[in-house]
Parts: sequence; C-alpha cells; structure tokens
Amino acid sequence: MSTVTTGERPLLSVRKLSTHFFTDDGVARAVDDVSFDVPAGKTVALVGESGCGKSVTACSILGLVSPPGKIVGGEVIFDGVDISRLDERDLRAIRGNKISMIFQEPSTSLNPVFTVGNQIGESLRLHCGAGRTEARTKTIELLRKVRIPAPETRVDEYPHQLSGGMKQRVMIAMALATDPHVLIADEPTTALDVTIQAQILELLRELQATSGMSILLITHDLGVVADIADEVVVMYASRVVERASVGELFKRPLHPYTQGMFRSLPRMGRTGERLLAIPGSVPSPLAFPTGCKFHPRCSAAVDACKTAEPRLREVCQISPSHLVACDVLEERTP
Amino acid sequence: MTEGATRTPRSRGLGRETWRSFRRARGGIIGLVFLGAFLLVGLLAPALANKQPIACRYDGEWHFPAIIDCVPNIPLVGPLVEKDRPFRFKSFDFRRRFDPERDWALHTPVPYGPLESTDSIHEPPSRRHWLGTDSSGRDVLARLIHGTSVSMKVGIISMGIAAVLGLCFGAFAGYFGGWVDIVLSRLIEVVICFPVFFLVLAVLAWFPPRIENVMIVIGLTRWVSIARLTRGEFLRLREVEYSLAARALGAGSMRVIFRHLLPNSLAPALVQVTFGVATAILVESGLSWLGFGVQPPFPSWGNLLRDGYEIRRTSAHIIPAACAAIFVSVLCFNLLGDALRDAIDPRTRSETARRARPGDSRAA
Repeated sequence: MSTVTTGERPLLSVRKLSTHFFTDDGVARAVDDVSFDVPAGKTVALVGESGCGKSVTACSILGLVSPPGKIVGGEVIFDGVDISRLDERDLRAIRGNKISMIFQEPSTSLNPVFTVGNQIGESLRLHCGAGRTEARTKTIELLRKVRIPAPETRVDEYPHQLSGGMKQRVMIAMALATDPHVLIADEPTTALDVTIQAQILELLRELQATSGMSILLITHDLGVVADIADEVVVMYASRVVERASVGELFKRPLHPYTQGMFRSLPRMGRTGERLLAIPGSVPSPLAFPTGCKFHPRCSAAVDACKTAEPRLREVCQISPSHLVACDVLEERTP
Repeated sequence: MTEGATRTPRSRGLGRETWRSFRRARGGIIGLVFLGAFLLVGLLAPALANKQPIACRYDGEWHFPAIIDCVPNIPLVGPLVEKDRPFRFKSFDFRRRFDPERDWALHTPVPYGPLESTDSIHEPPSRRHWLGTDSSGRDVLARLIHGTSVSMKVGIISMGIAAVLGLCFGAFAGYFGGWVDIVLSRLIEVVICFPVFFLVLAVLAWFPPRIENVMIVIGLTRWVSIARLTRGEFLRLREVEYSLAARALGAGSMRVIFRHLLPNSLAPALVQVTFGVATAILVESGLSWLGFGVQPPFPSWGNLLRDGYEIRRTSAHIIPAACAAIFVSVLCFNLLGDALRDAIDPRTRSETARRARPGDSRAA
C-alpha cells in the first residue's frame, strides 16, 4: 500500500503551512500548521466541514490568498522549490501551467461575457504563447478530451448556454490546457447533481490515468473520497487531525472527529437507525478553544485535552503512516 | 450536417437581452433614432450646408468639394487627414464662376457655408434662407447644422475622456482596495465637489478659450460618477469566482481587471456616460453663450443663441431654433440613458415586463 511519507520525494509537499486572516475582529487562524504530501500521479483528498480551512489551504498553495489573509509560516514545496517564497511573477508562471485549479461553482467560475473557446484559449495563450488558430484547434481537442459533445459548435457558446456539468467540464478543460502536474479541485462536484458528480469524477480519474497528474481533491463528501482518493487528510478547525491512506482510514478511523463523521453517514442496509450527529458546532476561527480544538464536542475528551494541543503522531503500529492528532488514544497493537 | 440545424438557439448574451428589453421602451427608441439623426447631421454637416457643391463639373473636370470637407469630421482618422488637399481651388467660389454652358453642379441642401456672409442681413425665414440670416448675413440654418458637429464632438469626446479615467480609477480603487482605494476615493470626493461649470470658467480664464480645452476640463471633472459606479461594481466582482479562477490560471492583476472584470462592469458606467454627454452639451452651449467656448465666427449652438439674443428684436426666430436643437439633443440623450438603465438592470427589467402585462393589479 502506498503511503504518504515513504517512497520517493512527493511532487507537492505542504510543510507546516499557516495562513492567518488579520481582520478587524482579531486574527483568524484559517490554516494552522498544516502538513501533507501529494505524491506524483496520486489523488489526495482534503476532507472537512465548511470553514475548516480546506479552500484556504488550496488557495495558499497557489499564493492566491488576498489581504487581509496572509501566509504566515510554513512552506509549499513543488518539484523541489518552495513556491510560497516566490514573487508574484514567478508564481504566475506556475499557476494554471504546472498547478491548475478548478472551483466549486462552475456557473460562477466562468466569465459570462466570453465564449468557452475564448476562456480555454486564454490559458494556452498565457502560458504556451499559442496563436489564435492554434489555440482554437487545441481548445476543440481539449473539449473533446473532457467529453463535450459537438465541441466545434460548443467552442463558440457562452457559459450560460451550458449545463452545470458541462461548465465543470469546461473548467476542467481550462485547467488541463497546459498539461499541469497537479490539479487542485476545490469541491468540483458539490454544485452538481449525483449522476453528473459520478461522471465528473470518472472523467477526472480517466484524465489522471492518461496524463499521470496528481490531484488534490477538496471535498466534504466521504463518498467522493472513497471513490477517487488514494490518501486522505482530515481537517478540523484549521488543523489536520488525521492523515492516512483511504483504505486505512475507512477501515480504522481513529480520531474521534473522523469517527463521528463516519457515524453521521447513512449506511446501506441499515434502516430505522438514527444517524448520529456530532454535538455542538464548528468553532469560529476567531475564537478557537484552547487545547485540542475538538474537545468541546468530543465524547472521549479528558481534562488534559483542554490545555495541550495534540500533535500528529503514529498510533497504530501496523500502519505507521496513519497519523492522528489525538492524545487520548492509547498506542495499541490491534 | 446542416449548419445551425442541430444547435440550440443562438446565444442571448447580455447585449442581446438588454436590446430585447430596450426595444420595448418607446422613449429610448425615439431617443436613439433622433440621436442617430443628430450624429449623422454632425458628421455630414459640410455636405448639408456648404457654399461649395456636393459634386460639380468645372472646366471639364469632376470635383466633390463638399464631400471632401466631411472627411475631417470622421471620428479618429478624420483629424489626421489634411484638410485642404483634394479640391484644387480651396477658396474658390463655384457659384460666381458657374457657367451654365460649360459646368454642372449638385448643390448641398443648404447652399451656404456657416461663415459665408450674404448681402441680406436680418432676413426672416424664407425659401432662400429657411431660418433667415443673422446680423452678418450668414445663413442661420447652415450655422445650426455646423453647430451640431461641435456639440456632438464636445459631448462625445469629453465623455470619452471621462469614461477612460472613470473606468480606470474606479477599477483600480475597487479591485486593489486598501490604500489605493482610500486615495482614489478621497480624490473622487474632492473632484465631485467642484461645480463643473465654474471650474471650466476658471480654467478658461487661464488657458486659451478653445473648444479642446472645454472638452478636456469637462472630461477631467465628469469622470467621478463613472468611477464611483465602477468601483462599486469591482468591489462586487472582486469576490466573484471567475476573478479567482482567472488568477488561478496565471493571469496578472491588469489582465484580470481589464479583460475579465471590466466587460462585466461596463453597464452602469455606460448609462452614466449617456447622461454625461447631455450635460456636456449643455455646458458647452452655456460656455459659448458666455463667450468662453467656441470662438466667433465659428458656429456652435451657444454662439447661435448669443447672436440671436443680440438681434432678438428683428429676428426672434433664431433663439427658439437654437434652443430646440439643444433641448432635443439633451432630451434624447437622457431618454436613451433612462431606457438603457432600465434595460440593463434586471430588477427594473422584470418590472417593466410586469407593467406591460395588462390586468396586473398593484394591490399587493
């Protein structure tokens, strides 16, 4: 089983990344000491509920956090270079070229005043210096690649003439125009209905198989995670609480938060059973609890949880790559 | 595969949608038609009122002096073309040399130039001079026609300057925020306090009272309302996902601003520009009336008003004629702006649609 830490150097490595928002009401620690790796050709899922810092992490990787947000610490190592230290000009050469990003809401991520072809062609013109006709040919090819029917006519249509799934395909085509090494997909299927979701995920998987790119998938949908991911990073209140391969995590969720998440999912075949919700709600990043941020909602919490912030550590000896940030769990050999 | 047969109906972009809604507004259409006429008159003024003929055969050769006189009126390229090239005899009075045996001519509808003095002064409207003549014996209609091009030029060029400034400043303030926004917003607040008319007067006291200076000063003061609206649009658009998506594609700030966001924020500015043109025409007329605008003997609507005022006892018809031109053009620009605003704004758009539906009660 492939693991996060072993093996050759990961393609993209996020090390102790912290992004804070300096608002009038105080400092919001949106991303706090987050570390994970994205190995080449693999899919890593970043899971967590709304507001836990998933999207800010993604934006921080590309340096897209705008004031009052600021990356205050850590590094983002891509292909051996710490890209969080690069200036805007060098970052622009990476954005949309080596690392691309697609967004949650395909209907608002496409500019309404330009045709599909125009927008896809832009990244070709920006990064490859392609001419008008060349860009158009390549665009049609890309549209075909993302399985858009009749690409020769679709290329001249405006975003509002396309359906949601179609728009997301266009977004993917835009992101893939320059053959990126990493695709960051920020909740790519959240705004789509279930059948389209499956199609888009299938498309992503296919494209990954042919191009060998890595995918950093941001989602709150565990079904999507099980479907497509190789590794999972669970975030809660700006921090990573658990990190494991997908098989390991689904077999043995260790952190109380992850366990709670799984308990709140409906299961096939079990009817008449109440779904368990995690009590309480996500704390505001302006006023995080001290110690373990999950302790007010945790059934296993002890007094020590209120003071000491747990670090990610190995708990389970048979899978050393399974990291959990919980001090209550005993080291055990199941 | 036959073209178009397989596809969904053609695109209905914002432009088309706006036009559909605009077409229903009767005032806007009237405004548009009249403005088209005004612009045409302004553009073709030398071919409508000229002492030289549109086409003539003189001394065995063909000439088109009045048409050639229109060339400098063509926007952008016109002023670059040298004015007195093609007609060989620039200050040539065709009418005096006209020999019915030898020559042939097609005259302009008003066969008098705007600066040309005739022997008959203070003449009332007649078949020869439809709007009579002024105290120097110049044909009033010819001057009115040539004044149209001045007014249209002032309105459009000054608002063009204002639009460029307003869009850029508004876009920067809204997009970058922070100290850029603070500085530009304060600048907007300062400039918005200036009474345009008196500022123009003050400036023209220092600089030569030329029409170019009037345009520049109007442009330098009228950009603020455009900038404010554009800033507001950009504050909204900055948060829109396609602006983030464009940056994620590797586009720089300027590219995001001018390529991705500006086309989405043009609508309110466009409406403001339309209203601004009307104001600029009024300001120019006022200035010319006071003697700070277009310098006599060159015609403009404001000059015409003043000339008419001086001889109001003998020729009372000049003032109403000039006033009508000013009134109608300003009204048309305002009608157009009004209809455009209603057509662009989706809220008023649905409202006009509801109002158009018969039997709809307002009881709710």
